[in-house]
Amino acid sequence: MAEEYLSDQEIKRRNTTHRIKVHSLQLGFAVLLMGTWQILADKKILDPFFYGRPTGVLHQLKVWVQNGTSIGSLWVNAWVTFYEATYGFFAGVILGIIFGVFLARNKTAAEIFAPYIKVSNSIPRVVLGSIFVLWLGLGSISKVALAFVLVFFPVFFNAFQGTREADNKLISNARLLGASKRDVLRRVIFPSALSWITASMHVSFGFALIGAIVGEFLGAQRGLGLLIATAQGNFNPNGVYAAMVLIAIMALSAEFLITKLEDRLLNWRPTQVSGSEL
Amino acid sequence: MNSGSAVKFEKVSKRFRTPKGTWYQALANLEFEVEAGQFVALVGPTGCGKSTALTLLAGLEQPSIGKVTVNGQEVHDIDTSTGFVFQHDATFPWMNVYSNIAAGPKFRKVKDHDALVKLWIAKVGLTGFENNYPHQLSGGMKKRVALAQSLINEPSLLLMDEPFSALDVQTRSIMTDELMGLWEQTKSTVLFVTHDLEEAIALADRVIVLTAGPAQVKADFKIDLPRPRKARDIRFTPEFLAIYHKIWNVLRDEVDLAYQRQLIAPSGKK
Repeated sequence: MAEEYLSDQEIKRRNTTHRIKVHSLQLGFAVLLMGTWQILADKKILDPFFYGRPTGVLHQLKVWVQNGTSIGSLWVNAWVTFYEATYGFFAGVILGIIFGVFLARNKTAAEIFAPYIKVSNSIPRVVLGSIFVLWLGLGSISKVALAFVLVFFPVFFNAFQGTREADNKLISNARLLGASKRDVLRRVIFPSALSWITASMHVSFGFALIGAIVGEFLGAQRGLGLLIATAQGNFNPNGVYAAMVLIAIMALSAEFLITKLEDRLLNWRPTQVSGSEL
Repeated sequence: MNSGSAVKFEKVSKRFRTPKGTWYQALANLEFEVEAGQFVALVGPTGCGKSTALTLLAGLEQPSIGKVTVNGQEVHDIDTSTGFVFQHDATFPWMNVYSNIAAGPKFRKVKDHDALVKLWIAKVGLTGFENNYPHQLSGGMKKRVALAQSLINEPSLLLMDEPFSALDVQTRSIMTDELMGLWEQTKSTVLFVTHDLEEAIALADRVIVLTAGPAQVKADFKIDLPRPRKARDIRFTPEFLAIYHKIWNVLRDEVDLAYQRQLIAPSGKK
C-alpha cells in the first residue's frame, strides 16, 4: 500500500521512460525487418534481382538525388505527382462538399439524382483513368481528373451523411433564435457536418495519390508513377521501392497537415484518440 | 377578441404518422388560454402530448385541426418572439459560451450586443467561462447557457420543455430558483412542461393538468402561494402540501391510466 501520492516529478519520469521504451521498440522493429530482408538478400535466399534490398534502395535514392532519374530530375517528377494529387484532392473535396450539402438539404434533388449517383459510384473508378488519358491526353490534366473522381465520392457521401445527421433540435433552436436559412447552413449544418467531412479527407488524400500514380502508370511523360513503371520495365525492384518511399513521405506529410487542420477546425470537440495516434 | 390572452388553443388536434404507417393522436380538441405575463405549468403523464403543445406554439409543427394563437396572431411558422428551452441540450457544441449566448443577437443583427451578452453571462453566473465549449461544462451550466441564450432575446413567450429533467435533484432545485429569479425580472409569459408536480407548483401561477394522451385539459389550478418564492424551501410549507395533494389526486388517475396503457402495449406508442 502506498503511503504517499507520487510526486509530479516521479510521474513525469515514468511517462518519459515509457515513451523512450515505445520509441526504441518501434525503431528496433524496423531494424529487425530491414535487417532480415538485407541478410536474406545478401545470402541469396531472397533473390536481390527480383526482391531488391534495403541498401540497394538507399543507393537508388542517392543516385536519383545526385544524378537525376532516367526521366529527368527527381524533384520535378515528385513535384508533378504531388501537384496532380493536390489539385485533384482540392477539387474533389470542394465539389464533394458542395454537392453533398446541397443534395442533403434538397430532398427532391436527392431523390432525382440518387440512382445516378449510385450507378456512377459503382463504376470501378480506376478504369476511368484509361478514358481520361484518351480524352485529356498524356499531360497532368488526365491525372488530376482521376484523382478528383477518386476523392469526390467519399467526400460527397460523408458530406451528405453529415448534413443529414445535423441535429434537428439544433436547427429548430437556431431558427427560433432568429437565424436565416443562410445562418442555419453556415452556423449549424456546416459545423455539424464538418467532423464527417474531415474524417473523409484523411482517406481522400491517399486516394488522390493513387489517382495521380495510376494515371501516370497508364500513360504519362513525367511523375513518380512513370518512374515506377520505368523501374518495373528495367527489372529494377530497388527503383520501385525508392519511389514508394517518396510516395509514403508525401502521404504522411499530407496526413500530418490534414490532422493539424482538423484539430483547428474541430477544436470544440472533446479530445479523443484520432487516427494518427492509433 | 384575442386581446388579453398571450396563448390560445382553439379545438386543437394533432396527429403524427408513426413509422409503422398508422396515426398517433397526440392532441384532441385541446382548448385553453393563458394570460400575458402568467407562468403556467403543464403537467400530465408521460407521452400525453405536452411537448407537442409547445412545438405547435413555437411554430415548429402545425396543428392538424384547430387554431393556435400567440399574442393574437395565429401561428403559421417559427416565431422569433418566442423563446424555447429544450429538454435536452440544444446549445451549439461548436460555439463557446460567449458565442452561444450571442447567437440570438447575432442572428437578429442587433448592433453592439457585446455589453448585452456580457450582462447575460453575468446574470446566469458564467463569467469566467466565456471561452469554454459546452462539453467542458456541467449539466447545470449548460442549462444556464440555454436559458441565457433564449432570454437574451427578451421573448414575449417562453416555452420550456422539461428543461431540468436531465439534471440531478440538487442542481435541479438550484436551477428552479435561478429561473424564478430571472423570470421575476422579465415577467414574460411562460409555459413550462414538466411531469414533476413539485417543480410545477413551486414555479407556476397556474397548473394545468392534462389527461393521458391524446391530451385534453383535465383540471386547472390557480397557485396563489406568495412571491417571491424560494422553490427550495416552499415545498415544506403546509399550503404547498395542501395544493400538492389536491392536484395529485387529479393527476394520479391519469398517470395510472397512462401506465396501464403502457403495460398493454409494451412496444410503446401506437
